[in-house]
Amino acid sequence: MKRLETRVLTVAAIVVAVLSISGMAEAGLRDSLFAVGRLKPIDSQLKVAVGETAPDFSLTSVEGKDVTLRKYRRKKTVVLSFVPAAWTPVCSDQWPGYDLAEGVFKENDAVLLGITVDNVPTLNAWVKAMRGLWFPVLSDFWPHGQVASSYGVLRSDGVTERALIVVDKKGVIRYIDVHDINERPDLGVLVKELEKLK
Amino acid sequence: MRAIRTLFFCGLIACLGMGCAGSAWLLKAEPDRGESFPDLGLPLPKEVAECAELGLPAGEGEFRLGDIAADIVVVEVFDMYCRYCQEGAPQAAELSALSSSSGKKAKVRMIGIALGNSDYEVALFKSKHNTPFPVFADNDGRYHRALGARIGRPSFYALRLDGERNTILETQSGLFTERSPGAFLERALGRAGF
Repeated sequence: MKRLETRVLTVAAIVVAVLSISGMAEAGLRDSLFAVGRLKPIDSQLKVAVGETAPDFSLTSVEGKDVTLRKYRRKKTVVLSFVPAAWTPVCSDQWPGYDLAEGVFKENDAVLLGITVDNVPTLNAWVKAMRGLWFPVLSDFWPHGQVASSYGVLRSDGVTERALIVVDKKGVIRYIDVHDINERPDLGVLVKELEKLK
Repeated sequence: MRAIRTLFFCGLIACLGMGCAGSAWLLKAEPDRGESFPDLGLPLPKEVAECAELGLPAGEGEFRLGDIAADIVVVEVFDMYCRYCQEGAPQAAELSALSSSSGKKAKVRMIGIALGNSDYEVALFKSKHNTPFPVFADNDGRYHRALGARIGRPSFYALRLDGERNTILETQSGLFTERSPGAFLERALGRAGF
């Protein structure tokens, strides 16, 4: 009986190991995501409007660089993409999707800045799990959500809205989409807005 | 001591059983081999060449999978935003090429259904990956709802167009890692008797 138990336990351990390894091969990011459920679509009050000068900011990127909004003036249109949180399902789709659109942003002389209130180590791990992104990912962690708050897209639970804000080369806000946090914005709508600024 | 060992042994077996059952339950959310694939209508392709490829009339309106002039239809269900779907684009293209060249055995055609994507997003994906088969945006989410919640991976279904049922001959959930797209297609053809 003892020998049989030992054999079964050994086989079981091997089965568990094989299943785990084969699962990890593709699981990666998607199995690490935190399901947030259905949230209140919008939970903040905008503090900016189209036609106003975009509040300036300087944030640290995942690469450890300081990225300052005003440095893009007269050079590039800037798309600010606020997403609520790392390691959540919709956010983890939205940004990899923008990888496909890198050429579209460049054709429209635009840069994309991704912003969340997560800290840099968290963002670093998340971006790596997404196999990297072509645009800077910025941490608005401390003072917590200060930039998001200055735009009025910081929710009451401390994460940001899912918001897209287009800032033209004069530093003026030309488009705002504070989107239902549960849904992904249609890329086509954003591209149309960028094309208006060409 | 013996009682503890036995208890541990039984617990482990129970956990393994529950784990397997849990996995099967999770996979059950997607239609499986032998079941019907939902045929909820798709918009007619905008490109005349794609209409010709599928044997469909050009124009406005919708078509049913059963309207496609083929014995077997391979459907890739994906989301252009998902990283694995992007990485799987070459595999999907390979499967499409194999499908088109399998004419000696059976007429096979391939389409894609992009869950949660807009027409613009589908066009961008096709352009970026030179997708060689027609892809349809699931604009109103009807396929998304019918196929259940999906988590960031492509799925492939080979369907026999047998009237109302459109029976699933073979499925592939996720990227082709343990078998090739060709093996998937051969298995489907074999199940259909070709």
